[in-house]
Amino acid sequence: MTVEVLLQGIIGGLLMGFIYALIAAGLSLIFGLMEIVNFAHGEFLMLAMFSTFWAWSLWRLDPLVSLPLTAGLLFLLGMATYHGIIRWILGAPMLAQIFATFGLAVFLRSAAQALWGADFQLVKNPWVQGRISLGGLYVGLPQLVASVGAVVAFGFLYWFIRRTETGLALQATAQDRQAASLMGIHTERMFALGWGIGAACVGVAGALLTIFFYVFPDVGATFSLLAYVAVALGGFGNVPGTLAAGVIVGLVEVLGGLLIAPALKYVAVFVIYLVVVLVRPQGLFGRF
Amino acid sequence: MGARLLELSDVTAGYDKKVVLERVSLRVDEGEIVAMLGPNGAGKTTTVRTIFGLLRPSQGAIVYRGRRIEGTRASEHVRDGMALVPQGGRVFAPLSVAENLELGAYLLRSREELHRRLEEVFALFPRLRERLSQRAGSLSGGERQMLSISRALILRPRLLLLDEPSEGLSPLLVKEMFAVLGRVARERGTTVLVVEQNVRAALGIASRVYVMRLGHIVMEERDPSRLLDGDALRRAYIS
Repeated sequence: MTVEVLLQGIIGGLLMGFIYALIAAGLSLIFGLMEIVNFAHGEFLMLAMFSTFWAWSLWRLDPLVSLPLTAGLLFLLGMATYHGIIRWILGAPMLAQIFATFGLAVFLRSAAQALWGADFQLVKNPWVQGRISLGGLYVGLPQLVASVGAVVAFGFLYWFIRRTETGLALQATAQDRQAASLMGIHTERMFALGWGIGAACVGVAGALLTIFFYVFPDVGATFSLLAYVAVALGGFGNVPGTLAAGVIVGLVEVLGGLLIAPALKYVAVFVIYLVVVLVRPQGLFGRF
Repeated sequence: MGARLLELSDVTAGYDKKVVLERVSLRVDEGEIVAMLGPNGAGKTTTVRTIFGLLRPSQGAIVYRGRRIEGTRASEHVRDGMALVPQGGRVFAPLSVAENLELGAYLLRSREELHRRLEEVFALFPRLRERLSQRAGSLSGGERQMLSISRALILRPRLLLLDEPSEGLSPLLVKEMFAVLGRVARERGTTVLVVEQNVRAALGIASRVYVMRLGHIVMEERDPSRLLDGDALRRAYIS
């Protein structure tokens, strides 16, 4: 293996890692806020990708143009999920919480299959195409734009959580919901907002992925599995930690494929996940 | 004596099937400092939690400012001029002192007003000004309690509830803190209901006292000084 191939792999891993991080950030935010794992997170991503695809297919809107629309739609979907399902199972046993979001995942995936079929769809001729050469290394422009978009979205999320009053209220609710309510914070509204923002993150990620990735009903499964790994590595509920964890997952995936075997690329990711969960269950960066 | 601010009538409450408060009735009038004393497990904390909407009573009525409030969420009480300093302070440890105070002022919409209110709490607890950028989790026990009280006072509540504010503090700090509470009540007309195990500290500022035992109010004393020397309090605790 040449150095060029290795560097090419590292760049590819970094670019995908930022997108994984954005997907994981939404999951982590929801978990940090309510200690509920959204097993339908991958299906939210799938819906975001289909929404982007249909915006292109019906109105010829480029994924980058329909991105705010997709993010907005997913935000509403997240809020609706909270109000329609999660709110009712807050005090229920953990199994009920798990099966509620798992059931939602199965429903959304089956509904997508029934409505749009199991075929792979692709946005043809998006605005961003081709590749650029950087010192002999090639970088796909769609991947570059998508990962830059993911970093920008992640930066916005971080700014929102750390620098705004509402973000502060979200942090307070995540740390101690009862103490937060003593401050006059309507914690249920914060939960709904958290679900909205978490879903909007996958909305943005889904729109960006659609520039270069196929869209099909099962597309969310792989991404959400990697997002779970990133959340565990970054520390459950630690949103900034997921950025580093997402990049680690992206790099291990690509380098595992290069150095071991392409068929075993996910094995490397899950081995690291298992080691971290066994040795440092709070994740690499601890809780937010 | 001021108008009736808070009244509990025959309130019964508890956790799951365990009844902790049984037919508790009490009242707090505007401008009063009411102390609620009693041994561990008497139901003092449960009373405060029930008043603040953190626990729903299974029967009875809670009337605040002339309105029934059972089942109203805690955040609504804050909007309605109530504040609670919970047991242990419950500061947001990973956040800075400034952020904790900002959260206390969450319902304020103006930055200028926030700064004015901050000056008010710094006048009460000057030490907090020096700790603004420090993480609340790294404060001493006394400083945490000051922060918790400041956070509750920043919205200028009409009724301030405090649950064991002296817990874990040195006698000197307890004296300082209760002096501040007395000052707040006198100068701002804030009504205070304080749940305490530190009898001397509470009696030092209270205008009226309730004693609780095993989920019941067993004594009401309108002249707290009578409890300082006599054995009436001891009798109420063990009767």
